[in-house]
Amino acid sequence: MKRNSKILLVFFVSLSFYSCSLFDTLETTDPNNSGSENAVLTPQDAESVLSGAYAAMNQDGYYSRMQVIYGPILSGYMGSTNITTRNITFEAETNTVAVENNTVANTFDDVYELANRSTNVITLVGALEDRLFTDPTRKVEIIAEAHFLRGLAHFDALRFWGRFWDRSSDLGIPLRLEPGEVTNSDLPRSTVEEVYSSIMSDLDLAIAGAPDYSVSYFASKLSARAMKARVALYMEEYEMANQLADQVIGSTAVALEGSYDDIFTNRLNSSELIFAMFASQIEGSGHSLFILTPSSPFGQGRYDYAPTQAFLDAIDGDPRESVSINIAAEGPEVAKYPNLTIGDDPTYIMRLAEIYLIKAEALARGAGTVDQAREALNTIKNRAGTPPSTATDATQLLTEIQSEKLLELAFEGSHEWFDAIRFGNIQTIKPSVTSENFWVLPIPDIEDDPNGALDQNPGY
Amino acid sequence: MKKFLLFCLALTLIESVNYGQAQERTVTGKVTSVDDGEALPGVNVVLKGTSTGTVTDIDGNYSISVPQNGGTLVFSFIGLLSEEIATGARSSIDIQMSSDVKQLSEVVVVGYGETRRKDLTGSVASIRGEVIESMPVPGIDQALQGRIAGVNVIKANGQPGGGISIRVRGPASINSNNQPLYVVDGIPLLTDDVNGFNGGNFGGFGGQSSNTMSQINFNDIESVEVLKDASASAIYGSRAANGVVLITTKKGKAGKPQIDANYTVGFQEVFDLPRLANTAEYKELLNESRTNVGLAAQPDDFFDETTDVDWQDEIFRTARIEQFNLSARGGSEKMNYFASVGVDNQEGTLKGTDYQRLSARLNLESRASDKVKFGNNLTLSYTRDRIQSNDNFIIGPYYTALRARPDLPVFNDDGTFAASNTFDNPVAATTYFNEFNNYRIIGNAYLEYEPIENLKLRGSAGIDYVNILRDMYWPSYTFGGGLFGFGYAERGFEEAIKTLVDFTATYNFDLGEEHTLSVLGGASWETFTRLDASAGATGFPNDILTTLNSAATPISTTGNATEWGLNSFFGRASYSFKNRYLFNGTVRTDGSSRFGEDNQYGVFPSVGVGWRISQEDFLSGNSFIDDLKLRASWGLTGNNKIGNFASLAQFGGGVAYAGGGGTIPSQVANSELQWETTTKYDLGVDFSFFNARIKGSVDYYYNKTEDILLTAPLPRSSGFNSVSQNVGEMENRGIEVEISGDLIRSNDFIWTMSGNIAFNQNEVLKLVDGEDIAATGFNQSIVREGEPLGSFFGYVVEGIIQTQEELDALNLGSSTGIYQTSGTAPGDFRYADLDGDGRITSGGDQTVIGNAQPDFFGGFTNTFSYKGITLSAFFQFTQGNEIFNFTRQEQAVMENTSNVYAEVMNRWTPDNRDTDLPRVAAGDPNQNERNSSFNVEDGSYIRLKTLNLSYELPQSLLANTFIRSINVFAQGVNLWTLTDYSGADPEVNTFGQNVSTAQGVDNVTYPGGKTYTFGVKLGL
Repeated sequence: MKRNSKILLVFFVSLSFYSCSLFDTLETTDPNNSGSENAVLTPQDAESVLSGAYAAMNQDGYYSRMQVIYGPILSGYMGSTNITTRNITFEAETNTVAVENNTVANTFDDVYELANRSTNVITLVGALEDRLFTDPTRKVEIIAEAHFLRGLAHFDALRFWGRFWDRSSDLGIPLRLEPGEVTNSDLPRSTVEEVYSSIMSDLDLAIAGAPDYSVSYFASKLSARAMKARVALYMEEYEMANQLADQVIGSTAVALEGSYDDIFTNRLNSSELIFAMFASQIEGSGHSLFILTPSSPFGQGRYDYAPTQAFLDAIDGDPRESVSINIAAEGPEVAKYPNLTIGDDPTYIMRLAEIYLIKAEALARGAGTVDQAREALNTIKNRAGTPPSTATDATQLLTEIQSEKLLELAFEGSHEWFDAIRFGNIQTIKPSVTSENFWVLPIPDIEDDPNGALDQNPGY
Repeated sequence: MKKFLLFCLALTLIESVNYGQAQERTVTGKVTSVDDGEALPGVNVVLKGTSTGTVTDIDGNYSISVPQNGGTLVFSFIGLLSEEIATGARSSIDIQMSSDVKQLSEVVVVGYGETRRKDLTGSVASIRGEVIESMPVPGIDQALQGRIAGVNVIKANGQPGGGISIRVRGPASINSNNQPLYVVDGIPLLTDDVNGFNGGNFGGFGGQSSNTMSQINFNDIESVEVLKDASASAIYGSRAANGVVLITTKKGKAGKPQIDANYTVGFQEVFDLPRLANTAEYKELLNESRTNVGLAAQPDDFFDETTDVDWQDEIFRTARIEQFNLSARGGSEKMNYFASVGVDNQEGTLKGTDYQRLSARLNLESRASDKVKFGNNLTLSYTRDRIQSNDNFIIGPYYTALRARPDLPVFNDDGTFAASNTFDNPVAATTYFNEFNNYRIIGNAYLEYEPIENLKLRGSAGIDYVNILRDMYWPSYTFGGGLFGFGYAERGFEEAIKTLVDFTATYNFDLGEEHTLSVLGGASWETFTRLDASAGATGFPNDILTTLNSAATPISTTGNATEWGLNSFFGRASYSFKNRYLFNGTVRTDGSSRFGEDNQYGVFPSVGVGWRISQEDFLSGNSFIDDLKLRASWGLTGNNKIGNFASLAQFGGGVAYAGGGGTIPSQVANSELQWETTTKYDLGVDFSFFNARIKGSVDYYYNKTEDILLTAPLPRSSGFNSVSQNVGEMENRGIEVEISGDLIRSNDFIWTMSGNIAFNQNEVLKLVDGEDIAATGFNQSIVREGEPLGSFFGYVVEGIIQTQEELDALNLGSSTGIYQTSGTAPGDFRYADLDGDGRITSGGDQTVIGNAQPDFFGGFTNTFSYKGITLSAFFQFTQGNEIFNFTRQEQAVMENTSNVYAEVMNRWTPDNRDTDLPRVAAGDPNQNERNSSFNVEDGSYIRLKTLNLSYELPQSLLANTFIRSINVFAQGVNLWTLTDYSGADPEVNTFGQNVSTAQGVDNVTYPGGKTYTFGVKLGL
């Protein structure tokens, strides 16, 4: 018996020896995908994962289409044209968006994909050793660009789903500051102040580390300052907004186009474009298909969304009317994204014109004098070819600034809606907005149902 | 032994006849047992090839007349191995007979070993190879249909070599394929990991899948064992939840070479197909469908009334079947061998489809010394499948034949294919060339060493390799061939390699008379890799030069790869006390690359106990019970088909920004992801009465699967949509009965009958948040808590709306003023308003309208033998399963220029109200074609699966020849079917063996047919 045991022992010892070396069958790799531990090992990997984050903007629910559609519809400057239009149109037109609305759900999904992807860039590239980079500043730049994108995503999420106008509110949004995992998937809501603080921190890191401005479609120190100016304005930090606006305006990298229509002719190469979503024939954008009419001279569109009479009235007689609107056989169509055939219309996320208007508003709201504010406003009015403002008191000036933003930035990023909320007159502009509850969209059910740590927005 | 044989004698029906014959002499002798040397009374002694015979007396003595020149005596007795002795010139012949292991001590193969059936504590069904040999089907899996209780075998379609779905005791999983694990001579096959027909840059050929089991020549098979309960199967751990099929190939035997040749030839015809409308009927129906919705009838010159084509006739044919097998078997004490070659050619009844197999096998074993033995099992095979698009694929021949206008000709005057209203002229559609060349190697080599008595060490290494070369050319005149340019060709390969290394040690303890204890320990390592690539091109100079080099324009390239690995340790202890009380415990630990890092190893134990009541003293005097055993077992088994990389956090490509390729997080990690766990309980009884005149077993089982892999939603703020989690639950419970008996057992005439039946109830218990899952296909199936897997979903047809008043009343009750659709008219289906809201809506008025799970199924065989003639009839049946008949859904409703079944002549019209077929209406304004109870039919059937008549030539005729035996036979398959199913073939499963959630669907699926074969077996 003893001898038998010895033989068995030798047998199994030799087996376990084999199992350690020859037969380690449990290590496998998926040739189609890299594991997260292998995703970013080289500077090239770092560039790729950053490209993946930028690409999150070019999604149907986000800057490829819906980001420029929601605001005009919610605020009544755009409407649906036919009954086949997707459900968002009906519900957003009447400001009764349901939690099941899958268009809103897609947008939520896309916005948080940008947040998660950029957080992954920050984490994974951050873990790379500096020595791998021939130019170690590139590592800092990549991380800084990712911070910019994460700030952008969180700011957009806050504006749609959080009470961004009330810094004392608890009703902010979830912050995706760690790469998404099953174990951290149930994010609670952060307060509005916490969200702003996180956005500002991301933008400060971007300002510190991002490259200088070279092209409009990558984040830069300039775009981070410009975005920070916008966020500061929303936070009612007018001194800060004004200072940052001055820095941007003072930059030699960008300059106002001579005429308004040059912006949409030069597009990604426009001299006043601070930050844009890249689009090309290969990486096509989606807005033109949905806003152009079938008989449009720009290409056969679906014409799901059309400017409303309210917008036509507002822009009537303004020199920017012919650039913003085309009257097709089926009716008026938005003309800012006309390249349906090629599909390479960018999305104009930040232009220098907006910075002048941020500066004007910040000054009018206490960071300076009415005269200074009016001067900033008139820079834009002059370029547009409309009579300069003669307003002498802040209230009137602010009214003019709001309507100037509507005309200057129409259909470019939902400024129509967010501004009306910030100026406190959305319920006048859009009577179907019956209470403050509907200044935000509902948290989509695909987030709310599985997320045990999150409560729905009040009123939904 | 003697006492036992005495009562056998009393029970055995014996006809012994002595005829006096001229020029005879007498041979006498004594028959004794090889076990204890005691005399054997009642043994039949027959002069071979004659009716001359006798039986031994109480002392084992016999006396028989033989011709002067002698003859061959056949000694036989139930429970003993028959012996044949040539008398030569001898006048006295004493022989010793030994027990027949197949009877009371039948040996069955179990995981990593074999055991005697009487010692089993688990549920193991066995089929001997000879039961199924010469069946004219390609694969062993198909040959098992109806043979084993609880093993439900469903053919996908009529493609020879096409996929077969096998469910052992019902499906254990929801989203994985639920096929059992196949193990050939100890090598777990790669069956589940091959794409087969699903290749193709355009996504395949309908629901068809290839059958890798058809690459094994089942004439080489000695036995098939199906391990059903946990005690039997849990030693295969994480792959045993759906049962294990052990296939043992023929081995050599000591003795002079035995050569066997077997040739079969025959033909197959497709089942009777429902008739299509002819030209006159077509014209009437088409015009009425237009006038019914206010369109003008087609002008007369729209129709070519001189033409009347039966397109089904044009695409089906009488198909030839031919099989040839040659084997040699023999050996010495030191070395033995089994070698074979086989050819199997089967045309499909659908033109443009066929199957061919060439295979060779060599199994060798050498006993180098008393302590060392080594050998190998090796098979090489080539199979070629030629297939056509099938299953609702728009260029499929059957699909187009059902829809093509009967008034359009097959050919133009110039001999080219005429245009059709379908994408392809149906006959042209049979000329697509889609060929799969499968090269398969399954082999292993082993070494066994017995260092000391009772200890056996064994090591083996094996591979299962398949390379599938796809060769496609779509001629220029076909729709597919004209899609991109002139012709379309695709060449591709798929290579799958499984490697296996395992070691086992077995020790039998010597614990005295009353105890036996045997233990086994082992370990195995398996790896699997698969690669595939394919390229397609168009722009050929003509339809003859079709290599990719001849093409002008590349269209597409694809390529993929995957892999997995498995490390396992396993053990078994078998103990019996007094040959009455049996205990069997097994355990396996499987470590899999597929499991999450927190659950990388799973442990699968089992316990089985048995009580052989027949060995107890109080039954020992019993005269009719040979064997009676109660069994009970419990154990855990797993299903590891959860995807190769599902647990890992992954980054994928496929996105770009400003020209730079991007990577993005594509899958969130679930480090806890694991196998699906099935807990199996089994209670069984095995019995053998009246000297094995009646024997069988009854089992009750309950299998509960937990941790079923489902997709659970994640909050979107995570950046992901969902994660695979082990959350689902499902159960199967049932009763299985297997019984066989020799109803008449005389010298000349034997009638044996055997049958099996199984009742299985399946229920989905738990899904993610109780939410339904939409199944594969066209929304016809649903997975819902409380319902069986394979439930059908749709509207409920209440009848046909007979009058405008009836319709008006319905519309009045609706808040929108419309009950069904605005185009609804008398003659349309009336759907049930299940939610009572006055309207028919997709959300509220669809429900479960049937399911594909049978209530019971099984088979039975009657075999009659008279002298050398044997007639065997095998019936197979299934009851209570339903079929979702998409084929009729489209063919019973005339809505456009597509042709319909002739039964539509019985459609609803104001003059023909008593019918269940709706009116014909262009555009189908009421959507009578929607998924509804109209399409759900009873799929029950009983089928004469095989009828076999054979004649074994008398030995007397062969006495002075070199021929050992000659057997001629005729066989019919599927000759007779009783079913209510309206389609051609109730054996149908459009989505094939890899889809469990959408079983029992008939969607323009290539039907099977009747086969007639004739053959001869020659033994040398």
